[in-house]
Amino acid sequence: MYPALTGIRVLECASHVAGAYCGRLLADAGACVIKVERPDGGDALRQEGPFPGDTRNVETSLLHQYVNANKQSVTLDAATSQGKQLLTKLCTIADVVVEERPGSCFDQASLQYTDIHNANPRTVVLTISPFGQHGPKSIWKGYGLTVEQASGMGWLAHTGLSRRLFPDRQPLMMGGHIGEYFVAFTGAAAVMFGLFARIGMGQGQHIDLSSQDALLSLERGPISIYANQNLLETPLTRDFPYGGCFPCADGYVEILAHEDHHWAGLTQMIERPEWARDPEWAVRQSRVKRAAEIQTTIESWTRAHTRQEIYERGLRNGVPVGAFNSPREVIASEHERLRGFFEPLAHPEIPEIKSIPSLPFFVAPLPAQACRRAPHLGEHNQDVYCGLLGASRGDLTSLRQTGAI
Amino acid sequence: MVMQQQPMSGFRILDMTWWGVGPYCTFLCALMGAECLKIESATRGSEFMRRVPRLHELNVNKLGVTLNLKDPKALGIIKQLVAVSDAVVENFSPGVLTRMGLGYSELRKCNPSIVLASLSAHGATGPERNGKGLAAIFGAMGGASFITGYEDGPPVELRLSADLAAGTVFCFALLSALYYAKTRGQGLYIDGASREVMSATIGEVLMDAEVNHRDQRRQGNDRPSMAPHNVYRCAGEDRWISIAVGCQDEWEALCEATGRRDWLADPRFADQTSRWLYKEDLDVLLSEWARRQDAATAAETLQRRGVPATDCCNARDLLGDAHLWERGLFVHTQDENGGAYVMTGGPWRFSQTPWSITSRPPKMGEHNEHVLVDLLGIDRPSFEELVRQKALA
Repeated sequence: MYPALTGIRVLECASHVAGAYCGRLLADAGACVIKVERPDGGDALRQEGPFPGDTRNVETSLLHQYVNANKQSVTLDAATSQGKQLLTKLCTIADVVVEERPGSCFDQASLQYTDIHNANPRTVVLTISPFGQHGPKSIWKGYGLTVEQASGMGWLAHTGLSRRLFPDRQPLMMGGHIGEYFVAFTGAAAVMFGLFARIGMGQGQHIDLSSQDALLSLERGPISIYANQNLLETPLTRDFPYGGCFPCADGYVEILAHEDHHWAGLTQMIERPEWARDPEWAVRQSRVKRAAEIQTTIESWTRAHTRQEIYERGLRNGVPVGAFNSPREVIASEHERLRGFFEPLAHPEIPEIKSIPSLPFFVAPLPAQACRRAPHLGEHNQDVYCGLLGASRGDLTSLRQTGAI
Repeated sequence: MVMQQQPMSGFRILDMTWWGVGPYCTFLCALMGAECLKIESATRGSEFMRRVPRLHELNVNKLGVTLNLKDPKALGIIKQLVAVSDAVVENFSPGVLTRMGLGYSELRKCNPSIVLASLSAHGATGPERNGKGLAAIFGAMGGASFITGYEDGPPVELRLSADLAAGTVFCFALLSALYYAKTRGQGLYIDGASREVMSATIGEVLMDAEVNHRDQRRQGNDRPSMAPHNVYRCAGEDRWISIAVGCQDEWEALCEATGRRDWLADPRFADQTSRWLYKEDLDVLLSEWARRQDAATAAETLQRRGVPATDCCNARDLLGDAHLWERGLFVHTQDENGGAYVMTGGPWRFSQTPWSITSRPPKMGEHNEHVLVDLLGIDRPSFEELVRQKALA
């Protein structure tokens, strides 16, 4: 955590990774992020695994712990009129609203952007939805899998060694929630642009972020190639002509040596000095023609070596190489330990948690602030409703009794 | 109508990046109104980027400045530019900028509120900082590729989209630091590691590894508790439909839309848990159904009933999609030589301050004179002397 956005208050109504991790980025950058959850069971992310010991519990989901760290949690039932009133009141103290449609509490309360704007014209509102809030497909439904396929990313995803082994298999999605995290990055950058625009305009605006647009924008290469050169990029044409993913003695490695100065290093690395002497191999085009031979030779070498050996030899010879690290290897990595990517986190109720992945960048010279565990459901009702909105203890009790919070 | 200023109007960014990560970070800023000075020298990376239109397009809205970074006079010009800029974004190998005498402490002497974003594959510190970094490599090192692929197959590489995703989150980092600098008057230094971006996209998997001492496996298109959740082959060559069902309503809608009400009575598919257990049976049935369908038509039919389904789009499909054109995602602009060029614009729609593309990618050094003479106030004879001495090459 670094205190760059101190003083910015964010209302987050998101129950998927895209909106929730967007909120986490803002929270880690120092904003006060208040997560608005349903009173019954809270955010859907709390129901989703993995769980410690595979025991389901709304407080212990590791996905929830990860994406909701550093936030506060309040509950409200947006379907009740009191809940709707509270939500509108929350907008008056919010610099930013991050919501996901369909299904956000604003959606449930039938509150649109204009309602938020009327409550607080300074609020920057980010609405994330599968296909956007505008356009003929804005009513289309989507999950991670289908949105990746709708963005062009999925159709091209199955490349490399896997495609050579299974040439007829169906298009593939990225593992876990990777695609949704990509949307979260886009949303967080959009919120910052909204805050900068507010400095000039004195008021907020509505940002319509379609997950399809966000992913398509990252997978923009094939669009330009087709639109301007009339060439359709396919998983086959996208493949590296040679190199790529190879099986080795203890897993898989990535080896890329397309440029001439990498090629010389590769011949050293895989102990083929005669390739370095042969002038024919020096030309990229002739290497591409003999790609099959190169692949077989590299593979027979990689199979006899471990990832560590290959990685070190690659570094020594100036060849771009990488090891396919497993999650346990990532957390055990000396590189990441020394960089401090995993921040210590003590969680009183989940002692198995020792650390949490922090942001993928470091900011200096601000004092780093310790990461706070994800909030319990409704943990900050009193702080927010009484402390910020001025409700009395009695109000809080009656809101609880009517089920509004 | 009063024209709104763009969010980043008045901000100046020195862009010393190439390939994908850095240029996309500054591209987003340039779309939103920042003035980006693309500083190039005759480096391999810069030349390569210019030869590949889909990378060079990330230079729209930027000004082209060439500086021979081996010449001390050019380094002096960079310092003068830093004094009148808000941020520097660079992706030299770790340590190179410092060795050029342009490290953060030096830049701060020129401008205490400057933000420096140093972007690299593995970060500026740590034993592996000098490793090479293309998306396929940092995606592997960061763990994201390990969980991507079929259950019975090898890991699958992440490609250019992973570069641009890293560029996007670094854009967020840059903007948060600029926000701090704007409100507090003090600059910041950012050390961004693309490999950690990939690790951040599997955070819950990493926590699972620590807490439960296990590695999540590759699982193709499967997602826990969702079935059907896969991609099915349709009629025609390489045409596919993706279908994901997350609740009972969507399941019932799917049975209606496919004309298979009999599935509703099948005990194997009675509820979500049971459908998950029999997902392979479901995949066989849906594959049989899909094989006779036109992918796009079938997706429309399913969506009309409320089933999350899409055809698997390639670039041709996407450029033919009225929805995306209506959202204004694609834009007609120009390439470096003024020829017609179509590209994808910004990934969001702002109600008041939309992104815009106002100029084509610059030619090498196209704006040298503008930047040195008009902006820095270097007199014309001195400028011409710099040109003669090849300081601007």
